[in-house]
Amino acid sequence: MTITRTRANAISKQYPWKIYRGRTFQGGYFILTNRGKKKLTLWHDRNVLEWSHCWRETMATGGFRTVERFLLTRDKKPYLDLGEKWVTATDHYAGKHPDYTSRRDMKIVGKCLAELHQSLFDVQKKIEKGEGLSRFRQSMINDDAVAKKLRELHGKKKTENLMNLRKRMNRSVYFYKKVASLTRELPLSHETFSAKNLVRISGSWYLYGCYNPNLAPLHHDTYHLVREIYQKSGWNLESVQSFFDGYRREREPAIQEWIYLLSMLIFPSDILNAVQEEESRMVDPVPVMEKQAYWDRLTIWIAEQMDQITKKERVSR
Amino acid sequence: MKRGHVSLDRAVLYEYDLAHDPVIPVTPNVWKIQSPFGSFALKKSSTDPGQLFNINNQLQRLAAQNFSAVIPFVPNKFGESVIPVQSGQGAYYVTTWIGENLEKTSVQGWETEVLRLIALMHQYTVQVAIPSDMLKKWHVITARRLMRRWMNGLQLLNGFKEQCEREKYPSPFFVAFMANASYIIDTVQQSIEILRLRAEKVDDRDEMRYVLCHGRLHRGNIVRRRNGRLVLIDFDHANMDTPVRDLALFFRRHMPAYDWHTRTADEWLSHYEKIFPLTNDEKHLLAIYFMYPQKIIRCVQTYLSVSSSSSRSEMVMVQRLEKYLHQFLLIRDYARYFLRTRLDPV
Repeated sequence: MTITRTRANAISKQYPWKIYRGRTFQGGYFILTNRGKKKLTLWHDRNVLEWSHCWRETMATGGFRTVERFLLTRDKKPYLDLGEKWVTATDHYAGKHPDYTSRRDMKIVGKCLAELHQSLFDVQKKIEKGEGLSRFRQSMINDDAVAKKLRELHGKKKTENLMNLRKRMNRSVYFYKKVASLTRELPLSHETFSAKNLVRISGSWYLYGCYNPNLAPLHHDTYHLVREIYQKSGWNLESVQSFFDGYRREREPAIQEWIYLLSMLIFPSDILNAVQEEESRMVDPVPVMEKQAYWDRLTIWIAEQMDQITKKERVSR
Repeated sequence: MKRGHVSLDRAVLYEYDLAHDPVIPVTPNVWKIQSPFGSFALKKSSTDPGQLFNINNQLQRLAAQNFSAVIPFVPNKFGESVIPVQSGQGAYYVTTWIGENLEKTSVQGWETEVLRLIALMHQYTVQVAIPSDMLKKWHVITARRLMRRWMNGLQLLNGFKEQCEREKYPSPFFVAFMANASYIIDTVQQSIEILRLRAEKVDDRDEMRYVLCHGRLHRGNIVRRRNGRLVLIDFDHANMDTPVRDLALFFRRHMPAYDWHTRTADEWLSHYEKIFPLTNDEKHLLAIYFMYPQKIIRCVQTYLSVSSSSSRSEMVMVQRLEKYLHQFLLIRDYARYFLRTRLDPV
């Protein structure tokens, strides 16, 4: 189901504006109204939508006002029920995204993600009592990405000779098991998160997007974001440092959270993906291995940070 | 932006879809925004957002009862009527723009009309035996809290008197104060004593009537609609309190222009009481409020807070003190007359 012009017109009647013109985009509809540019987004899961609405409102009431929020309908509802699908209206944000090489921008990205995480802890208390989202958690606990890939690869003969790869995977599982109980306590978050979810408008940074997300325990988003920053900054650890500086200024992760992040980073996902792809088509392994060397640098850097934090904690005790 | 204006966080304007409309500074913390959907007033208030939220609830209730002399806050596009300031204290809110306030336009007999509106507002919002959680939520000024506040005032006067006595070469301000110090302090002590008796009687039995009090009724906070009707604005200092608070503040502020003329004061009160008659107890409290020399105490406070008192500011302060002393005597006379004539026989 997509939002057509006719449907967009019908939907807009529920909102306090007049449409001038509009166009479809994947998953929604852009409209120019007498109250500025708006965006209609189609949601496929009501529980995810309500979860998303909840963290946005929690962030806003907690003081982070520049988060994209769902505009109210004339009936003061945050979304429209179309039967099997749901529609939200938001402002259309157009501006500059953060610069991966700018320390200041990366600090802001870190700060925003930390504030989002902070609000997710509050959301967990509010919304997880309901039944709607429990299936996400259930599926993650039984079918976590690391364990799943490991199971898959154990059945593949090609990996038998890749001893180092097996070692890495086992190490990843070793760390993961150490904090496995934590993942049950961590709130649900987005499976992925990008620095492009932030946009600068009139001097303020707006957090937007994250529609119809896959959910995962907290820090899957951190994992993806850290990798993105590292790669897009030209493998620059200073950008990663700035990101964590911004994050930790707002929220200090527990050491178990660091271990969880480390377990994800150790897992050689790029190589494994290449191995899987190799079965269907020819893949040049060299660039993948080169890339892995960079990921290793990042993993070591994170491990060093953890060491420093642990040392500081010991001294303060 | 004009000099002295507080900074406006423009992100607030996005929450109302007003970011692209012209913003005109009106006062240091009020902006007028002209949009295709009408004109709005945006205010940056230092009042606690929670208190503003409570106040707006009361304003909405009043508006729902067709009381058009108040204007509830306009909700933003997410349904919020109060937006906390991101860095620091206070909150933003938006109301529809009505017009210029009475400071810039002269309206004959506005005082009696405002008193009629206050009486109606009090009548619509009156509550007896207000629940304790609501008292807490509203930071209500109970008789006990008021007494504590007045005790602080008394302490200040006593301290200042001692300071004056110690001075070998007293300043003109000291001399002006000392000429009446004993009498002022005696009056404050009497007021506190009466208030104490009242606090024991009223607060313990929860018999006090609570109404929505505006808290700052002056011409700057009254605007006129095109049809000539008056509207009360700026409820930032509003609270659930005894109706006497609004009356006392209004009289103290505006009666000096009429030299506390007995007939005018009586006329004003009768306009109010035609709609919302005061109880005997409230009349008594009103007289006590009148007798408390609020302005003199504030004047002393200002004098003490001025670090470098030049001869010019000394003279200004002396003139101000003498004006307040003169007013105090007039108020005292009216309060005595009021107690004699207005109290119902028990």
